Amino acid sequence: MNTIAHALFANILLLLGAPEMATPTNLVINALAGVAVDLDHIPKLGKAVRTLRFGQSSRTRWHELQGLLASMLISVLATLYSPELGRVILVGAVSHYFLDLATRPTRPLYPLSDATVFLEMAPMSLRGLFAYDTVLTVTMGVIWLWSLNGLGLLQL
Amino acid sequence: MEPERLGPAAAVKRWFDRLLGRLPFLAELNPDQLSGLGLLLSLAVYYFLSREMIGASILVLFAALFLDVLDGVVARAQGKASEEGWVVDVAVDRVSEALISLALSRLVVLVVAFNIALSLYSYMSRRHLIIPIRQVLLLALVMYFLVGADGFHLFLDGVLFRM
Repeated sequence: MNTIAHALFANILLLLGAPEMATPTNLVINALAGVAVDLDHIPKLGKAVRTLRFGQSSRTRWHELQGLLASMLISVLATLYSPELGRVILVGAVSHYFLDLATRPTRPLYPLSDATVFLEMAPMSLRGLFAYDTVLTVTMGVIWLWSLNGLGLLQL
Repeated sequence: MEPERLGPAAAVKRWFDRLLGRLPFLAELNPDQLSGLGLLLSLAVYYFLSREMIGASILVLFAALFLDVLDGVVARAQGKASEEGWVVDVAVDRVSEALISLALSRLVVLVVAFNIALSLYSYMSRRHLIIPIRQVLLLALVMYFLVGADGFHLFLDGVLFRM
């Protein structure tokens, strides 16, 4: 899923599940945690520009279950410093793995196994995927604005 | 081949196969989409738990677990049971647990993290060693919902939401 969708979805999970933590600073940290997992795509950026997509081969172990495990442990460690900060990071990180698993082919056990998982809840063709991503991102944008407005963080 | 399930887990799997395996519509269902639907229901469980709407979270969690059982039954009925199917199951279950744990205590988050490590170990050792966290959570939530505000309720409240 695209970077904007990951940031929006991380924020939406925080806004809906823990609105009391939804300060502007926390929302930024949460969004950063939601997109940070994609940093491992950077070395594959050139190929993605040529083929117009990041395939599952561009995902390292940190983008799969091993990464989810590491994210959860880091978040719990962060709660020792600040329970709120840890929770905000955890929500962002988990949201990324959820969205990727729901909408993209992934290799959950990589590098132990190359077995690919695709839950068939999104189209496979490039054109279909573009339309799907656009609709989902715009929908999440609307929910995000609506949630911020509801909490008084944004006046629409 | 998928990692071998241990005695009780294998017995439960056979029992569900006998109970649900003859349903007439199984051939029409897609096991991966059933897994995906169960994953989406985890979102609702997270939302209800974070609002402490325990009754609603019990109902949706039960539905998610039913879909989790059904996808395996459908896959086996269609002859699609394989190592890939096991990986789908493991991935959906672990991410679902992680999502639900966002509304719960740090203790639960740590148990979920441990379960992910167990899943990786299961693949390497070819033995299916997993803690059924969502099933245990469902049981704990039902008890939490039913028992009055006594010591046991406070204990569950601490373990599930506060620690």
